[in-house]
Amino acid sequence: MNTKTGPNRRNILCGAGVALALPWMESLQAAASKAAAAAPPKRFLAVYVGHGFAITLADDHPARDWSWYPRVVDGRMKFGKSMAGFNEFTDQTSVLYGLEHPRVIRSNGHGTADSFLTGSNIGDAIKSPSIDQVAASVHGKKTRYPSLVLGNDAGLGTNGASRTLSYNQFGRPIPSSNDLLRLYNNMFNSDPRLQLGNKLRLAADGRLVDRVLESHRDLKRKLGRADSEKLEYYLHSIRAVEKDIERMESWSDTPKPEIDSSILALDATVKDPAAFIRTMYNLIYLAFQTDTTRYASYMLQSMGGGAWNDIPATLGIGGNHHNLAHAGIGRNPAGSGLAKYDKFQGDLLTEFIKKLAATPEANGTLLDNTLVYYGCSNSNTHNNSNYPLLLCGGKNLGLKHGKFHMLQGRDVPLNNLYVTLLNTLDAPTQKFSDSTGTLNDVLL
Amino acid sequence: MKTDAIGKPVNHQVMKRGYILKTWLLLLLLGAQGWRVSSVCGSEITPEHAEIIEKQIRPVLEDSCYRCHSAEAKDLKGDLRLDLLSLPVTAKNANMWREVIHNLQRGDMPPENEPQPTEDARQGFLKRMVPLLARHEADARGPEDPLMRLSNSQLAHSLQDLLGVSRHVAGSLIQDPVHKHGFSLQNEFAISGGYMELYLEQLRLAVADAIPDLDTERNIYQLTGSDWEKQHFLTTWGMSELSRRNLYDGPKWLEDKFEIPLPPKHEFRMYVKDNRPEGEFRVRITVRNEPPTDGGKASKQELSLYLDEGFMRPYKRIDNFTVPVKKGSQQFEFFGNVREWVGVSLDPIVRTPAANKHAMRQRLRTWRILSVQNNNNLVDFPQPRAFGEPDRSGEVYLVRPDDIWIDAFGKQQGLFRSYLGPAAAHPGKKGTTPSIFRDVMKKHGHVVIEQIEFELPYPAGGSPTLKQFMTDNQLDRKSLPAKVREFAARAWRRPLDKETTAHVDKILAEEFAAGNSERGALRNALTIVLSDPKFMYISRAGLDVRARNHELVSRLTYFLWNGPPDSKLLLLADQPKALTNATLVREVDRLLADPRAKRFVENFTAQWIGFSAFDQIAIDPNYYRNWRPTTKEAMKGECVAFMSELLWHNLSCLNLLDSDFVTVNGRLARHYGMDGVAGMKFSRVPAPAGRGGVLSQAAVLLAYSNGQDAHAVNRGVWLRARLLGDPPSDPPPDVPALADLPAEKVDTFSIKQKLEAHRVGTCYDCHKDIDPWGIAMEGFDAIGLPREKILSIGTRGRKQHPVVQDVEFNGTRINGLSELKKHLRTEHADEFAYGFTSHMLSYAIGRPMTYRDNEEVVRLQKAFQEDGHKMRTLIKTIVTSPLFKDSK
Repeated sequence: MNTKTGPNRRNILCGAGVALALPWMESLQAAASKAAAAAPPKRFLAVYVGHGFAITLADDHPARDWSWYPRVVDGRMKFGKSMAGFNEFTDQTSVLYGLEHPRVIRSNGHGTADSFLTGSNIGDAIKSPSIDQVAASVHGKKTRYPSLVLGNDAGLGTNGASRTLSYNQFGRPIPSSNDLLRLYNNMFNSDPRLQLGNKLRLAADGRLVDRVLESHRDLKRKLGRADSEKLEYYLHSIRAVEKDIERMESWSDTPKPEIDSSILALDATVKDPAAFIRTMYNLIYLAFQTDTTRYASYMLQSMGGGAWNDIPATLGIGGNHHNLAHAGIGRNPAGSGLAKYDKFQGDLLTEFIKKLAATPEANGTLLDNTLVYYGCSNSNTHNNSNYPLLLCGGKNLGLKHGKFHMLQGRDVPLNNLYVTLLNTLDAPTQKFSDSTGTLNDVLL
Repeated sequence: MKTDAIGKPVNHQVMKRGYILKTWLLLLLLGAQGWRVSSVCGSEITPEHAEIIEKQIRPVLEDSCYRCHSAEAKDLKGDLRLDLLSLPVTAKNANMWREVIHNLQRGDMPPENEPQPTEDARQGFLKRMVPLLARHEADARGPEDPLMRLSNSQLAHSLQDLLGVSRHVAGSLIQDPVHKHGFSLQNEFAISGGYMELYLEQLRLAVADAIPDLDTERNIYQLTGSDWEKQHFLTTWGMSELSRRNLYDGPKWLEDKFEIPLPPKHEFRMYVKDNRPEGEFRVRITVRNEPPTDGGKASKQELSLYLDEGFMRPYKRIDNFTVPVKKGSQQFEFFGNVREWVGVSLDPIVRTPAANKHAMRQRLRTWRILSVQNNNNLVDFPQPRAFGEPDRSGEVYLVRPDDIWIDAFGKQQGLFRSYLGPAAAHPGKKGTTPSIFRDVMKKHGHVVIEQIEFELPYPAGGSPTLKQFMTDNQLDRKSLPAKVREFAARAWRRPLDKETTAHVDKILAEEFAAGNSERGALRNALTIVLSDPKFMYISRAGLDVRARNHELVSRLTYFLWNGPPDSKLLLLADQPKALTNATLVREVDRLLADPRAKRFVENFTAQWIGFSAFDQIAIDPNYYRNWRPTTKEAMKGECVAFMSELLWHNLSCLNLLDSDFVTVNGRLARHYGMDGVAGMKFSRVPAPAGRGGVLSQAAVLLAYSNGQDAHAVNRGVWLRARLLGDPPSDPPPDVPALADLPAEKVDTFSIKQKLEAHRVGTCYDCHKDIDPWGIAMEGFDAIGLPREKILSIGTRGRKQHPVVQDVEFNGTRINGLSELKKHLRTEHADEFAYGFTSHMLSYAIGRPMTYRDNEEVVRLQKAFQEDGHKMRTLIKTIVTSPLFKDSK
């Protein structure tokens, strides 16, 4: 965003530990651009937990207070111990029960993370693009990064044990990142040495593209009349790299937003899960607030048994998440291991939500302009139906919150929800993956 | 053996396989106009076609098929109108023709209870139709794409070989697609912008490993000699503290010399305070093999070297090594890239002490552990429990209570006492964990560690790759171009002509023009060379004779090494007439003798067994309480070791069907309940009852299970595809769910009975020839162990059902896996040979087999069989086959 005007922002604190970021609105006013008159952008964050939550809907269950699902008291949702933070936000939250992706109902229970944001079958060579990427294809060009693809277990994973939620327009997985320092450097670090390093690297990439394109032409000529489809793919892929270089070069002169990085524990690792996840949420928060990106997907753990499967031991709960999920909610009113883990994640998420709610924007708060989608693709582990899903925020997107929706009777694909969400995010569409309609009547 | 019209072996007596038709094939009959001699799709029917149709095709269809599959059928079966089929074979009707041919060949159609065509009529029909179909397929394929992308694994190994680095990039690239029946899909590997970006990122990291930054001081963490005495113990964060030295019961007994005894079943850890996530490393360990201290003979010691990040129990292996019985010091060196060890799964067993948890975590976050373990067995020695764990004698390595932490900046700044040590607050344990190593050493041969070196990054400033570009220890602008050209010729696997020479020179010149230093320019130049399509793609058809030879040797080494050709082969390729069949055969022996041939066995086995399916199955701990996920690695190891054994020792591949030996290591032997095998290395031992062949290998049984129970259908499909060379057709789309069985039946039905419920309509036609194979394996559970009862856990709790594993194949009764294996080996050796030949050929040329290849496959199969089913023979005949040499 634009240069500083007014008091030195590093000295101003806004709120307890909230990052000092150049608010979106203020910067545009400083620039006095026409865009300042427009409404703040609409953001979307999808957060995913694997294996399953501790759930029960039976009100007389001894561990009901630890169920992920809220009770409904006098028409209002009352969340249990593992999601207590949401009690402050019930009028901005909706909980959904009864939806799933039909194409993966019969899959191995551990393979459904791949399809959480797409609905595609694991066996398909090419998947549908994911909902965040569809939105990013419309508005992503307006921000430095079209989207953030994040995962505590980083990388691509494998088919059926994905480490990423996001699939691009060609249906290919986009590797997720857990590199806190690199994310910070890319988005917020204006150190001139870093900038120079980036410039040099982009220039070197540009030369690489030029040379291999020459080589490609030469090879094509040598093949003569023998056509090579593979060579065509190669050309397209190099051109895609070229486009990305151009995009990054076009942003390299735009200064990065100034933020207070002291709330980011950039050296956190899996051995301090709370600090790590909190930092990740803070990076997302800062990215949204400074309009560095508008879309993010965050996979809290993959189901392929990465290092993050074992954090219950680190947290003192014991065991690993996979085994805890198999044990489920149990019958202990003091809460099972899984329920305690759900609380760990729920608390960190509500910290993030609180930050959004405490950040003003031109037409309300940052939470009003951000749709947070939280859930899992198993009800009980290995049971790929009735996903526990939660939506929070996005009042300005038109969503009507406050209810616990029991949708099992509808028999519609989960992607109907995604159609509705995409439309509220100004990525208008009639269809997404295997959708058969919308859920507009439920949420709008 | 009985063969069909084209020589493919067929044994009608044993199994009648099902017939199922894809209903969507009907959609292909667009515009079909019935059985007329007029054209479809505009192509003319020749008089020749017309005669064929009248004499040999139509009568068979009329007599045998129209009753159920035409407009006149009273009850149209399978929604299939064969009276709409016509000649010539076109893209629209080819699939239909193929199905008709297959069903006639297998004798599946007409159904048993219907009138059958005469033998003459059937043969006549097939003799005419099969070549017509083959010709169509050959024509329809069009010109073959002359290029094929290297697989992820081939790219990774190429970078390792060319750049001399250990980094293996394959895991960070978008996964290559996998064929579910084990064939190679390499000819379909595409490339995309996303793929290219990931590849470039990994490539840059590999190049940076090979050409490191400006010379830095070598960073060797060392534990050696009398440094020990200079090291003193410090205690940190106020834990109960006597000077460690007084409590230490270890090397002190050796007086002043620093030597660490490492007896069997013991582990020694070196803690390195360096947690950087990138960099090549080198470990050098100097040991001595010592006899038992009470007298007796020394014995060879099997050791393993592990590296991990963090303070949990070391997890990921660098390598195993054997210390033979020899006098004096012996040195071993190992190399790797720490990236492979970052984020390795943490052991949940270790508990953190309550006090100062956070402080300790802060410190320990930065440690890395190098661990040496002695895998030899303890003989006649009761093993005490360690750390309150349940007795897992033989599995748990006893950690010396006096682990030594070294502040690994190479200076003896102080040792931090291991919190796992004697006085540590260990939940449930009071007092010391007894140090038993002295007693063990009395009766067992052991090693003594004299020195350990851990160098990271390696080599700092002295990379051998970098050296090859230097002149007089410098990177010199004048001589660099020639050296880069040399590299490019190796990377692109061909000599440079005038244009490519100029191109390479331009690459380097542009980098200098952009203001780079010699090192920076070299790095960028290597990156560009290794992004070139001439590197990333391998040719399938020659462009000119000289290029053809280079392409052929490339295909050869990518087949047998998963890597680029070495200079010897490149030189051979330079001589136009040098690559005779005799030379190729000789080269096969040379390539197989090279350590890189291991990659061939690993990759082929991974494809043939289906490791990608294996990796995806997560075992449900509710069903398998004692299951440890680390056993999975051993299971994969067994398959690779078995295949290796067949190849290196020239054994018959029929052993894959059933064998009198198995290849196991200590971990897997324990899993199978076998005695007498220890250590991490795999060795060949006589097969215990019930084991032998691949069908009882745990990896196969697990991969084709659902994590809770065996999956008879999946196992049956695997068997058909891999062992019989006859993959079943895909199920038709939109298979409706079976009507739910009545609740009381669900709990009591065996899997065999449940599958018999498939006997409705057309499901049965295919499933009757898939399910029995899998049912015969029901005696083994999802983790490859024998069982007599099947566990199921449902809403009604845990239930046990008896195993039912007897099936009948056309009069032959088979009860259980052992009988199945014998039956396969005696009755289906031909089909197996055909199938295995197809799979190996497919692997070699990078595409699945089609009808057109059949003749050649059969020829190779015969040679394979005639020479005792030796894999080496098969490889040699493949390499000299036109399908490989001309690679169409």
